[in-house]
Amino acid sequence: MESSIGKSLFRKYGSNLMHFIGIALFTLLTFAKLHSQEYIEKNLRVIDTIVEISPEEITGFEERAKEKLNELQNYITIIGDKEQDAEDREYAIQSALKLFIPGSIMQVSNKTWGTLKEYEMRVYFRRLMSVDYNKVEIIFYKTAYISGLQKGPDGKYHGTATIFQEFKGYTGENLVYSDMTTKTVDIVLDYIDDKYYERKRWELLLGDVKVAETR
Amino acid sequence: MIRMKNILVFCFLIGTVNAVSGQINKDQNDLTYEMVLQVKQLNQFIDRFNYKKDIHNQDIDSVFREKMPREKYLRTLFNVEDERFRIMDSNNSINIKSEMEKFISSVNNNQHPQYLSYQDNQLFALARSVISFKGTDQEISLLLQLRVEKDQSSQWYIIGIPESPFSMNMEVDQRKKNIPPNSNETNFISISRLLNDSLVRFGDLIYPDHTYDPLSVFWYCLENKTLSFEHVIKITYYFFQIKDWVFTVDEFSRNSWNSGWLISDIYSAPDQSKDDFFYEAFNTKPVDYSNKIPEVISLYPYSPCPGDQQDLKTSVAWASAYHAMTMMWAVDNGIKNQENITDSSFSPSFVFNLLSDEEGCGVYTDINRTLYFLKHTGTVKSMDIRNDCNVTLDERLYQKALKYRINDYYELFRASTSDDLIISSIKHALKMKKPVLVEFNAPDSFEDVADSLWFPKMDEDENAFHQIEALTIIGFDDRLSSGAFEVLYSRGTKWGINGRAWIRYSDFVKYARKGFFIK
Repeated sequence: MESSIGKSLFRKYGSNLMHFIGIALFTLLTFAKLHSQEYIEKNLRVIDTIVEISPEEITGFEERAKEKLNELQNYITIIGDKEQDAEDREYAIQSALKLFIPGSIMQVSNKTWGTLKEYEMRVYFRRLMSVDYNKVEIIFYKTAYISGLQKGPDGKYHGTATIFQEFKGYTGENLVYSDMTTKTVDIVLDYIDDKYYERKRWELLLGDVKVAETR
Repeated sequence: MIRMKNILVFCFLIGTVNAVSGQINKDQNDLTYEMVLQVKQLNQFIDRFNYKKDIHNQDIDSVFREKMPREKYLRTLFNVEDERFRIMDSNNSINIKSEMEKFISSVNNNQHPQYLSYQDNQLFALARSVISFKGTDQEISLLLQLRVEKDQSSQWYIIGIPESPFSMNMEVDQRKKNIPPNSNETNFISISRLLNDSLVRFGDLIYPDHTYDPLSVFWYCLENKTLSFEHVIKITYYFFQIKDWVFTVDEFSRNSWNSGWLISDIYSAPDQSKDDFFYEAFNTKPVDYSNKIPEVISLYPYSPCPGDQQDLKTSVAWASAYHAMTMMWAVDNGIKNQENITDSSFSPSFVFNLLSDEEGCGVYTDINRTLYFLKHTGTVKSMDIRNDCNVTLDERLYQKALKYRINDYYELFRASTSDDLIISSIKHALKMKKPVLVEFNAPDSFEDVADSLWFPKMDEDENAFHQIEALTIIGFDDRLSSGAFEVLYSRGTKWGINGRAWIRYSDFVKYARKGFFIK
């Protein structure tokens, strides 16, 4: 029945009527939507947004932290590899630095000598690039542990990851130095203002690193 | 026998490591069993101590539980390379091995198992550090405490320097140098002479009982650049949370299955003497360390007459604006007269009329959204608006509401939060005299509570979806049925006892979905 009315209207007034009804419906829906928006804004008197992370989101960030740590390990391998082009190694340093909060420190303890030294991340990578061995072998292990994130008073979330690394330095074919270290890495989740996309988003960066030699 | 026990534990753990190693991808090397077993961070120590995570940081399941009961798992957290934890020494009056057995029994008590928490301000770290003082390196210890704030954020504070790095000669030089009794008459001229005399000692002029605060001196020296901080060389954690015990945790960096952050010492210390222990260990008074939660707290005296949502789905508005906000106002003003409190109550009607525009009052409103409105829009007093679902909110009401906004709010817990944390976070909020809002998956039996204590029916599956309602938690009593929360619900005075009832902790954690703290 309705269908036949539609057909007869279409026959009588042609497609213009259908066009008109379409526009009217669109206008009505748009108005309803705008009205609803206006209502919400009026009642909300929007001031700011709530910045809390759900446990599910935290789990997602743990995966992101693992990815960043893997990236770091790849860069360290390139930086320490004397067979790579100097340009590639330099690029690896710049890329590795982007993973860190500016000003992050690498604290290195040497079990044999009982010393503890601190380097700015940039200096640490430069030192790694210029170690006095013909060949360097760096072996990484799967990320061993990432702690849960804890909220700091500044609103940022903080966690810590533990990774293991084995280092071997050769002169010619002779292994002249080796160590096994545990790296404990700060992970900071910051709610930043992304100017490019003009929105706020969570960003994960690495922070200070404690390097402890275990053998 | 003892060694055998350790070896068996070790064998099981290695078996677990190998079972997983095969799954590791080939891009990076498999972790060795020493790496997996190592307690890599304090976080991990606490999770293992609490029997929450297995060695792979997965939730402990029945298989693990069967093969590695908590008692055995706890043993792996001791520094067993320290002979004192392995050998019964009958010659020594304090036998650490037997103390360790008592400690494990106490922690693993079937009736009252004990757990560690990051949340109760009782975690202390002693950071052995190197400073440069007047150009010379020396070691000092900084005492730090992890403090958890109201919004569940946390940070470490330096609370003391147990051993003073600043040598001061406290001895008296036979009173040869002193401020004479009549020096006041000559404008204490002698003081300037004495203080500039290099032979004068601290004890000559300073009152004998005077104690000074090394932390303040430390800070002063940092500011005037006579001291610079180099780095921390060693951390020892002190745990005061286990009843009648104190223990320390240190890092043992070695290539062994028993490595990482492990218990390095235990001390039998009755709770009532822990303050003395603290003072002896750190030469400073505890800072809010004995900030324990009492067994019972009730904010009921600050509550208005129980609300009644009737057949409307407006429990969130009643729980938040009417019950919680009104109680917070009564607490702030120290008013305990229920009639006066009810007269000054905040309106649920403004809130549910505001929020139920499109869906009517027949649909439950999310607490988060409601609190968002209460933060930004506020609500009015009950006397300003009738309690009805069809009230038109005019600009005059909006203006009034702006006066009664909450400062802020935080999510305290979710269903996925651990039971202990849910219970402790609510208790902490109540200790601050803040009622807690809860989203509750209320089964049918909850609607008709006719007694003071609610018991869910056997067939009311906690995992099934029941009615989502909002409650206000106003108290707790650890002594009641192994612990219960006191709640207000908006079902009038006939619900429970005059509108309030008790929910056992064990039932509460099953049906609670979210909890919110209002600042």
